[in-house]
Amino acid sequence: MSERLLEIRNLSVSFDTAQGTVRALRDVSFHVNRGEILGLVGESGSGKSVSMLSCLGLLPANGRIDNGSILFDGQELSPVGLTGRGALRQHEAMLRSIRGNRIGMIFQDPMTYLNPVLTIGTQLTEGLTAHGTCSRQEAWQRAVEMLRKVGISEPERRMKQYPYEFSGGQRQRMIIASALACEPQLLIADEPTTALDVTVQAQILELIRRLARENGTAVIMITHDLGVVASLCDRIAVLYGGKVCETGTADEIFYETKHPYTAGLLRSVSRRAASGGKTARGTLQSIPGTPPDLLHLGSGCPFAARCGEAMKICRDYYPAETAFGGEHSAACWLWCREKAAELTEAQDRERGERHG
Amino acid sequence: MAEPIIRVEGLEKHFQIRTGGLGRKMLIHAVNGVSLEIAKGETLGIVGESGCGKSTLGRTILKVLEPDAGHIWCDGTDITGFSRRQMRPWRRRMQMIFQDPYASLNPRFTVGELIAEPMAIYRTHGEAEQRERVQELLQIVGLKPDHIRRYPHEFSGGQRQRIGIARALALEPEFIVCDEPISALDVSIQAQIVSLLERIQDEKKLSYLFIAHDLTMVRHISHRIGVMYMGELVEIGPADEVCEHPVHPYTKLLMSAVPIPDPVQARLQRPQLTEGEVPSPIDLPKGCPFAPRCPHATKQCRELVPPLKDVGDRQVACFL
Amino acid sequence: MLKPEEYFDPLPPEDRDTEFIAMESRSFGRNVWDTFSKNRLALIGLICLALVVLTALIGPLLSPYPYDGMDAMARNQGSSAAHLFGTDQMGRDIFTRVLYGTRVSLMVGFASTALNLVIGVLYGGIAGYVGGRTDMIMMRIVDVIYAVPAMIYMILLMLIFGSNVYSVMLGICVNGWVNMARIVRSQVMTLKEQEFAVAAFVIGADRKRILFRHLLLNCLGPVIVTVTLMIPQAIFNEAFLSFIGIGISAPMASLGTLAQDARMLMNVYPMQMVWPVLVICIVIFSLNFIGEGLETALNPRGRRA
Repeated sequence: MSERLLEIRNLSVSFDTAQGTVRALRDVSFHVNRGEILGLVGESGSGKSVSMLSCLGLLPANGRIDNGSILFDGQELSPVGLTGRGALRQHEAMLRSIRGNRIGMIFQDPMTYLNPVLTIGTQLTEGLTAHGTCSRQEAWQRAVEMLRKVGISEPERRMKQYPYEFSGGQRQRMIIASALACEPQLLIADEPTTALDVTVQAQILELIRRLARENGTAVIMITHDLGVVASLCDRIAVLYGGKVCETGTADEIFYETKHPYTAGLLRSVSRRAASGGKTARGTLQSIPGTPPDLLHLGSGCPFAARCGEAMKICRDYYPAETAFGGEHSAACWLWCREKAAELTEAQDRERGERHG
Repeated sequence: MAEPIIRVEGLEKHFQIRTGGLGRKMLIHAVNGVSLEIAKGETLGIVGESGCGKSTLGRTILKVLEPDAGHIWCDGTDITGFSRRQMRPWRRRMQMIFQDPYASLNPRFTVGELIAEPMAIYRTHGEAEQRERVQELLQIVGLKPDHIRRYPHEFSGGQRQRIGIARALALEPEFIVCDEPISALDVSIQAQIVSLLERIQDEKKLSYLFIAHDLTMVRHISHRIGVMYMGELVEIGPADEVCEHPVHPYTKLLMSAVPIPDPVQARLQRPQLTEGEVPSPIDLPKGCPFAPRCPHATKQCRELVPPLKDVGDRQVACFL
Repeated sequence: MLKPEEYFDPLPPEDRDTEFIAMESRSFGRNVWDTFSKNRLALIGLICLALVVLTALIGPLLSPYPYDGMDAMARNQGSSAAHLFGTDQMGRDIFTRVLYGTRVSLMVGFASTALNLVIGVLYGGIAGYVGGRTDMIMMRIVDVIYAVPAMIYMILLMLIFGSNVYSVMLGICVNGWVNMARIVRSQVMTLKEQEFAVAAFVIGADRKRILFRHLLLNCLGPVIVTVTLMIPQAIFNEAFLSFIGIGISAPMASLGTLAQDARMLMNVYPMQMVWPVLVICIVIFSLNFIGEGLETALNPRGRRA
């Protein structure tokens, strides 16, 4: 049994829109180990949610996986290379058996994922019975048990209530309950606390941490909040403009930052603010400019235009991923200058092939 | 002491709601007796969780909503009872920046039209001057003069927020209510907007009422911070003091819940967790609004509402 | 081409323009037209309608006959070179009459819709914007007007003002604007809660400016769609009134009266019926296709994706 639960390799995803092709992910690779919490950090449009939707086969109709492999527990989830309707249908059936069963999901806005006209009980037991793992009564018992676990009082009575009778935090707890009801190996949490207040956010994060540890569930936490990943995650992957720019353990990312984007991100939340030093006004440093337009990406590093240390090569060529020992790596020309000749040549050749 | 640009005393705003078609009317006390002052050139940060009335407070001060009780002074003049027409000369001195950069710009206007609109309303500039001023404002917020003909939907969230700021600055106001201007933005852009607001303040000597639920950023821009809970100000004082040494139990809870962007610190300081969430403002509990969630609540807290008292250089509403 | 020795030079400022927007600037109208013109059915509708309108406008120039010129020698003829669509029982040229009839029908359709548009938008806009008690009273008045069947108003107006184009138009307008008013009102009610309306208030815009420049301008989409559905409705109503014999009176013709005239001889000369009905069908189908096309084009969700 391999250590890696989910391994994404060279994943490229694009969307067809009226304005042209949006390249949401380009050649992205990262992995999650069993029982670990991975933070997927990035701004809107960095591709963090898209990568997870592709894993689950939930891309919208205009999106497609162009390339790459997604290995979940040894099973290939990417449809790349599959031809024929039979094979695709089989693939879809396989994804369905994994979704909600072996991979649980939590989304940003709990209300959109709860049906307002069905009771909580009906919705929680639905997932359990749908995968044919247990009978109605068992499912009801399990659901009550899960509600108790996520800290909802009087679960028997509340099973008969409707979503609107719960507060935002309680709804998110319920979503967590239903996501964990099937005891998945992997839980994907897509900005689960963005819509919640800070005090409730703290409760929900604690809950996710506790349940993941108790059940040995691996978690992928998608967020743009560095505070959330710092306290929760074992490892972090930072995405920018559809590329992975840095991965490593939480400590490596925060204390041995290699990529200028990660550094800028850390500066703009200002560690001092929360850790006790005086914070003079005007000391806040921000990254200038605006995130790249995924419709009109150049060939170089997507961060080049906003990067304080950008060089001419950054504009035209994409840097190689450089490892710094262990699992820490970053894709930046600052760390792979010596490979410049080799890389530029390869990229020129590739471009030449594409254009003619 | 110089006259504060904004002074508010005992401000109250209620909303009436009906439950069901014929249900009985109920009052929501969105803002419940708030008093505060904002000096010239100062930023007062207001933090609190959703539903605590912080946005309503901002809107009531600008008289977008009519207050139900209390008084508002702008630069020494009581503007509480002013009619729409009487407010006109005051409006241009007080502006607002909104939370949602997607909803606060009329999608049918070009950027140029949007920024020029306040000038057109007050007829402050001739046509050519107006154009010049719009380009100058775009420059101030870091956009380019040739963006003038574009439509809001062509910009990213952060850029739209900057358009909103340019528009608010068009009439050179003295006071701006920033209603959660960064909540909808990405982290790197949040810092950008905060820095921009700081820079503008330093150049133009503006006053801000900066409303937010994100404590880290509020702390950066504010001189003083006020914490609101259930329509009441529970603690107000110098920014660093309130953040470092919170006195009121609610402020303590709020500060400890902020996730710390530093793994080692985060492992050391586990957030203080409380049971429960913000209660519905419809059935306000008697006594201190925070009493049901407060770890130190006594019988007195459940019976009486604690008044705002001076504690050192700040004010706290707590019996402790 | 970048030279290897330049690789590690700092990136010059002109390459650091992140505020650059690559997308070309397009107005709202351009966007709508782009989506609309991709819809083939809607485009065909637009072309057909344009053709019909054009022929109706320059119609008299196309035909040597006056619309009421009778020719006892040539009654109930079939199609021929002299009479493209043949002649009717009084020997009038049907082609000419269809041209004039289309003109009248379109005029009724467009003019009454224009009137409905103005009344409906203003009424609905004011009710929605002012809200509260005013809105309550205004909408109850609307309910009362709507409660009485349209036919009754029309017949009553015909009795008072006689059967002519104007009373038909008036009849259609008595409650035709109600729908528009309701749509505009609900739109304005949601729009006025949006932040841009508050923003307009804060910069000191007066009521008139907020209502017209900010709120009503943003109702454009649903209003245009409603209009494209109101025109065929009006044309249809007019045709119906004329068909049951209380609409426009002879010798003036509308598509409805032409169909009515032909009805009596339908068993013998069915073609006389076919021509006016065909034009009605073309006009109504075209307008419906255009309306449908506009609806998708104006739908913001359709536009963003």
